[in-house]
Amino acid sequence: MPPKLDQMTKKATRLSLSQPIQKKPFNKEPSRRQVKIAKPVDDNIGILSNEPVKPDDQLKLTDEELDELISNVLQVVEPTESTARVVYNYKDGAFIPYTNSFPFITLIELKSTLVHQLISDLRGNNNGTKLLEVKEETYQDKEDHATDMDENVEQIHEEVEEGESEGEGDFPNDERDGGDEIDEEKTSKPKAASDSDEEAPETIKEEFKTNTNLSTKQKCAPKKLMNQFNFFERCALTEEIILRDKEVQTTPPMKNDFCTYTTQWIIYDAYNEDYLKQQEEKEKEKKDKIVVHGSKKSTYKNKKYDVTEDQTEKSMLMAAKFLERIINLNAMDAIAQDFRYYEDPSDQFRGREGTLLPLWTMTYDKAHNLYVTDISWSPDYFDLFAVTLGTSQGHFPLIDSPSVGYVCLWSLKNPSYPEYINQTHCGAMCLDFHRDRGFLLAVGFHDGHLAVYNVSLPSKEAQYMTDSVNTKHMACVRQVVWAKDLPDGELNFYSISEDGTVCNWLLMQSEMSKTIIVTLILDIEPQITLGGKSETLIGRGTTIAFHPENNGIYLVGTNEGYIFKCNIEWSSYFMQKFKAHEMTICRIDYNKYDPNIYLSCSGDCTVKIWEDKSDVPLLIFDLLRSVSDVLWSPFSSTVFGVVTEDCDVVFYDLDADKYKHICCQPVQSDSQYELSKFAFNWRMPVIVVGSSKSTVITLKMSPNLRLVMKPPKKGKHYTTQMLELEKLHKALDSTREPDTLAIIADDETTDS
Amino acid sequence: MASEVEDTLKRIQSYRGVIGTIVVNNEGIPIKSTLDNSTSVQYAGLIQQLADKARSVVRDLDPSNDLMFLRMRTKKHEIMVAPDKDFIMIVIQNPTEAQS
Repeated sequence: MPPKLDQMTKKATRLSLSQPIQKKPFNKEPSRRQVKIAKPVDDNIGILSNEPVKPDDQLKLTDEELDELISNVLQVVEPTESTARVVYNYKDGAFIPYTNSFPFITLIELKSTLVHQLISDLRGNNNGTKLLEVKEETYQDKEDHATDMDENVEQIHEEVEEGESEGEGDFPNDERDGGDEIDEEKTSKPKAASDSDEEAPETIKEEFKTNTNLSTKQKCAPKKLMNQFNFFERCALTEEIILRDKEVQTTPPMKNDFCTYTTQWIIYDAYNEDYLKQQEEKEKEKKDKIVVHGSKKSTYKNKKYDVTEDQTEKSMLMAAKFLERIINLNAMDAIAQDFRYYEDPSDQFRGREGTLLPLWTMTYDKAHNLYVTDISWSPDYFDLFAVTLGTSQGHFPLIDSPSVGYVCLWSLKNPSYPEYINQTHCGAMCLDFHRDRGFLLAVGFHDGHLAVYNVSLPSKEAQYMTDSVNTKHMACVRQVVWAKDLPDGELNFYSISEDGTVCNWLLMQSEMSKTIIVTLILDIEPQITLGGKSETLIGRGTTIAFHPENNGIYLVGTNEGYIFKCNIEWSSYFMQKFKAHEMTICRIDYNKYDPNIYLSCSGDCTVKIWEDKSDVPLLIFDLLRSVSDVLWSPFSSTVFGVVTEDCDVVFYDLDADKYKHICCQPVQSDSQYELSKFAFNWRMPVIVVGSSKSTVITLKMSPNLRLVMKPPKKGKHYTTQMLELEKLHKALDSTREPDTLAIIADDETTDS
Repeated sequence: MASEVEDTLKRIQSYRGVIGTIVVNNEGIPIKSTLDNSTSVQYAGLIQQLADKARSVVRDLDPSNDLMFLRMRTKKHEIMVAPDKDFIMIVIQNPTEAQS
């Protein structure tokens, strides 16, 4: 294309630019103009000629040649445009398809160089400014000579460009311009063709005129362009610190809505619990300290678990027992009411005679064929009593003895089932509650063993038990009696056995120590001789009774009917020994008011009242049937009760009648039954009677059976005790021989 | 001891006039009952509420006091409740039958 371009550029000189504004940018590049326009200015200095200025190297043509017609063909040819052009994109580091965003097409590209010019080169500058001025001028006259001016400018342009290309080489910025011009050339060609060349000289003229006119103006302008390349806007773009909000989302803390209902007692419980825990910790600390010293460790945890387990069961058992009681109370409501409130109204019309009202009958089914061998009321609870179940007293020892026995505690609150059951290895024969420690129960067995139970413990193990053959009694234990505690607090009790000894048992740390107090030697003829060796007869003790006031003195009844009065101080000496009955003495009981009076009963159907130190009974009551138990009433000094084997309960009141009973009531009409033992309650007017079929019958005494002397409202003040004593003595006085009565009684009491 | 409880409950059931025995655990579920299921569940649910309320009353009056037993005499029966921390024992008895 370049060859064609040459031609074209020449023609373009005559072409006008339709948009003179586009030319403006060129004005800002004075360096180019300086060079271009310099020539005409230089030539202008002298003459103004019509001759066109010709470059030196212009091709000289002859006239003919000049006149030669050169056909100018304008072809409408769209320059080929490379379609699949790519451009290397530095940003992306890849070739990208090139898209022409400009409103023109590049046809030619000419590289040029911009050369820096020093400030001192004023000439050039002036020229440049001149050009500027010219341009300004021309724009001012724009309206008038729009087309002309355009042409002029174009012309100048052409010259400039030619100059550039020839004189100074390539201008980089020109490429575009060139392109532009060519474009314009094409579009405005028809217009250009019509323009005449003759106008050109005129315009140049004008130009020069204005040049000279405005020369003064130009002087101040060049300074602006000084050091045009040295000017830098100094600025540095520092890296911008980008503020970022960094947020981390953590897992939100657990939220719980807690609401509860609280009351005073819940708070109270919580405090209590806390207090207990604190106490426990304190104790633990203490324990830990001890453990550290002793370097021992205990399995604390296991114990605790057991305790809680136990606790629940315990409370469950409690609840069950409670329920049972209530059910019984409901079921036997009438009896309970009677027990408390019924007083036989018919007593008023019966004189001194009384009745017994049967209340509950208590049976332990498992032991239905065992004898009730002993009954004892608890000293702590008026409605609790203990019974021993074993073999009949009359049975021979070691023969026909059942291998089982029971110790049962009955409560009147639950007459259907015992509160406490303890099965023993053999028939239990007797028992006694400790007076001060109501939970301690001494029990004697058929085979001579003795045991002490703590009934408050859940375990049924005996606290103390005679274990060896040497320590135990040689025969059936018939009665045990707690003695007063020794001065140093040791517990002890006495037992009497059929082997003829009275023993004292001292409760040591882990065992009972035995002391034989006395051996009941019957110093009577005929003595048994075995192989020439004479043996002393030994009385088989059956019952023992301690003097209520003088602890050292006691009475022992034997199977042979003898009564021994002994003192624990002397083991080989009897204070008194006499034959009281013909048969086995079942019971000796001191009067509750006067300890000088006691009574005894025997299998020989008699009950005898004795006075101390006397071998002669004061009174003899023949009941005509075997008597199994007799006891003074605790309520009245003159009343005593008797139970017979054929199921009668008989009451006597010496004050009312010395020869006739005031009450005789059959308890169990069944011929199978025998009554074995009975006991007065110490608070309620109630007796319990034990039978041979392990049943225990509760009977309520009518008012006549417990008449108590009431102190008179007027006159001298007497206590009930005194009146009762007086009543007893009055009753007995008539039986005594008048002369010996007072003196003997007094002496004896003082002696003892 | 467990057998002792069992025995006692057995005895209770054998008494005259006793209609039913229910042992309820602390969650209100009857764990032992001589009545049919629906009745015992009903008793258990209702009695537990009542026992709780009754205990609350007693303890509100005096925090150191506690409810031991609850007897309800109705026209037909007597309902006896032994409430505990871990269980409730309920016995329904017909007292008129028991006395005759």
